[in-house]
Amino acid sequence: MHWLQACGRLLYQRSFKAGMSIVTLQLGQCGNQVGHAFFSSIIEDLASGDCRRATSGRAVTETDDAYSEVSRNRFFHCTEAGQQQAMRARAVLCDAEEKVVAMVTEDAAKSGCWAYANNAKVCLKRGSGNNWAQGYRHHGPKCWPNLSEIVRRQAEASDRLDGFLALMSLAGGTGSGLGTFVCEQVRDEYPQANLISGLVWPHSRGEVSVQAYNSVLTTAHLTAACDALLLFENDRLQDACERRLGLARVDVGHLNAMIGHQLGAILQPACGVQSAAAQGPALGGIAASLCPHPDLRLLQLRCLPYASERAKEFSGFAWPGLLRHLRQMLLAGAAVEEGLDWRQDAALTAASGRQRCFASRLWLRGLGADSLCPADWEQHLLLPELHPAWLPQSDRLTVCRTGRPYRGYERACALVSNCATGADTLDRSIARAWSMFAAKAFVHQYARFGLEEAAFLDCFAAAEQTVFNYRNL
Amino acid sequence: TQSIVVQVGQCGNQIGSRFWDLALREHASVSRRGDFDDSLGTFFRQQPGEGQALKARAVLVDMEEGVVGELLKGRLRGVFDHSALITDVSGSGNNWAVGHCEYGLRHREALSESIRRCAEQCDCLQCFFLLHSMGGGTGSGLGTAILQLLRDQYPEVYRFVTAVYPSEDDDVITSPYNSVLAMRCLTDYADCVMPIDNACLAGIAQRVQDSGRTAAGSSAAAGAAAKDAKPFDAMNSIVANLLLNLTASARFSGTLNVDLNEISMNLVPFPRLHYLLAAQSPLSPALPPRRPDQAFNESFGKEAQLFSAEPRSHLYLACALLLRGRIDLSDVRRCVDRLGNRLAFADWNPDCWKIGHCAVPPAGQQFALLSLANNTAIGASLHLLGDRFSRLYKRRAHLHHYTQVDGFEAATFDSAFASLNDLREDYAALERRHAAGASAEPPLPRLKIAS
Repeated sequence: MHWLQACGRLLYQRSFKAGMSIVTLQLGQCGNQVGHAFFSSIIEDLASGDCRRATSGRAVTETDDAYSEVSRNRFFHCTEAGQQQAMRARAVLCDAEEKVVAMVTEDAAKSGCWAYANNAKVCLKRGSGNNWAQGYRHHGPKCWPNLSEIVRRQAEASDRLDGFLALMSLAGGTGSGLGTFVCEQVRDEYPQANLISGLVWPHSRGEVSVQAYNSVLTTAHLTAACDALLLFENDRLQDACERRLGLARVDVGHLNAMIGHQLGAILQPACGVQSAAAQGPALGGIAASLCPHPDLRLLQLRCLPYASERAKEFSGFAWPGLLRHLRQMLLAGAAVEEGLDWRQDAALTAASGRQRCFASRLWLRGLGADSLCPADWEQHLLLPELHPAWLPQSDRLTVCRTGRPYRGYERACALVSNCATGADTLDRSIARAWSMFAAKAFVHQYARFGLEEAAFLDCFAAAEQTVFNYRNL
Repeated sequence: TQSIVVQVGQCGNQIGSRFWDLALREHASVSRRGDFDDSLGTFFRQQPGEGQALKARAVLVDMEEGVVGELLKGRLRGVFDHSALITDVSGSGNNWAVGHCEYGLRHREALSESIRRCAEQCDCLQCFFLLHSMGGGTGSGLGTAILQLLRDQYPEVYRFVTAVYPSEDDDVITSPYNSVLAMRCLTDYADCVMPIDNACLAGIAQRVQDSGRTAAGSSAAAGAAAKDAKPFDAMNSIVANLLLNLTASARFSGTLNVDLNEISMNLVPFPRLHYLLAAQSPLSPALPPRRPDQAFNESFGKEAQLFSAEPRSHLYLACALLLRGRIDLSDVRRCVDRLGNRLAFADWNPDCWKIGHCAVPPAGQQFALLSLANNTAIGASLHLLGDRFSRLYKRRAHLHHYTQVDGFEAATFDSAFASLNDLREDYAALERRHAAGASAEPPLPRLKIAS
């Protein structure tokens, strides 16, 4: 048996024993905003289910009830407070200053149906100044005693813990630096739990001068600490929002909403919702099927369809159409299904070596998903040219599905691939960071908080190793 | 987080008085109810006791009684804490040595005490703002002595300096001496310096006034301010607005907050090269509003610069855009892309931007933009300053005024001049390297992984 397969089996066994709840770690300004968008997506999905149930028959209602129960339990701690059922998000909020956490907490409470737990936040008084070293070496250790207490409380509040979803951006200092520290600590304290981080890559044309440094430093550390890294690139998100929502003006809220939608699409229940016990762990499933090897942990996420509220009713697609578009997006390395290069076929992609794909995982949500047969998706997404030859057929593509539609879309699908696109993004950041490092630009700012050149070089080496592994898949 | 303003000398205190006036107006227009909140707390604190009067987190220093005296008789007198005033009577005679060595020593205890008291009233002190001019004696000499004290006693707290440089035609003969002597301290002890030039301020004030005359009407705020305006008020207000725009994101909320420590982190790639060229659009809140595209163009044009330098024809090391008010992400992206193509950035980071957005615009405006550029254009200005210094120094003109001051050594002139030249050379080297391009020396090759 190939050694990668052996790793995979081991990981899969470990995660199957794990339970159901996911605790979200919202780290830094962006992490908190994205986390809020994520929980809002879940709530909307549950609400859309309520509408459906009102007008459907018994079979549908049972499915929906099971789905809702699993979903609520997975992301919220539900208590009875008088007549009302109070839903408290299983989340931990951390930032180096108070403004954003306060705003996000307030917005959640305003919704009326859910809120963050009262004692779930840790804030320092002053920010990390976009300085990874300040976040990692100074704020991280300072926050951790309080934070670990809160994380433990959230973990213990779940019957069974699937794992942690850490959300952060790579451009700044808190999300990236403090976020990295927290992930490493969580990994140490909960070795059995799955740990997946959602990383928001900044626009390539600058949001922060030192974003390349912060990105490389974080990625180098997290490929070791996390089971998988889900990459969300602002450039691609912005493009996708502009095209799909038909907006000339896109703001940060739109980007965050899209990330929230995509995360919901892969973390909401799927795979035979009839019995809660039969539910596989969401994070564990992703980690096991896609990332058995420590140096292949960069995941790309594609989700179809996505439209504004008004256009949603008109976006009914059939499965073959959706799957065909997903496949082309995978081949062309695209984030959106519009403006795709349809000339790019599997052979061409394999020859260019660009989109070399290790493994993929597919979610099908909506009418008729349960009645599709494997051939329906395999013809589109199981492409022999893309995968390394030594990977057995059965490991190349795993599928989760449910007949219950997601967020009011009649049919929706999501594809998470462990492919080389992520390595391209990382490569660009390494190139930029290296040219700054060679000129010694900004290095004294990091040295001020104890990050010396040797530590930089270690991270560069780790990041180059990751890129190398993907190039030689 | 909180910040403390230390205003030193005649110029520093005049700018300071405009700053406090405009800050109060801005907070009043934002918060109708006048509640004391975190944003107000950045620069103000509440006096315990009846009335809960607002007190500025400020230390006022002057070696003559004129300007501070005026302040204490004026409308703002209730805002300042009387323990935060350090004054003397005879002035510094435009002599850096008197300000730095004589007064620096004499008032060191009192200064240290005042600052300590202010700092203790802060929950989380983040930044000192020093306001002064470079050409005189008090602001220049005592101001830099205070800067050194701040570095020694509060090393973790950022030190932002707004320094008004003398123009070519300054009427103080020894201003080049004072400026160069002070420069050395700014290079060694400050985290960020925003140099300002009186000539530029005058030009901007003139433009504002001219367009004000042709505009249909003026806003109430402008009218009220014009009533008891003093000479130089318009010029000083420009600098005051600079400080308000700089700290807006730290005070109010927005989608892309920029804290003051981020300014230093993003704009200072090499420790001594921390001189930031500032430009704002609109030039003054009293002017008609600008569309984003116009604002971007204006703030990168020659006329909006607050220091006489031409950043567009030199090399950008880093650039920050601090936006206030309503603007969409897509607009920002578009403008930044367009600008990025036209401006020359250092080859080690062609995308060295820092973008911040604060939801609250300045009073009476929909949108404002402050750009802070770390640009090698300042090297040219340092060159001119160095020349003016040399012309005097070669003839040993007026040196005895300095050397006869206790505690001042003649060698200080040489070390200060050397520091200035080193700085010029650093900027010039960066420009040379950029001009030579990749052919100069091959870039350090990336790490290779053995397969």
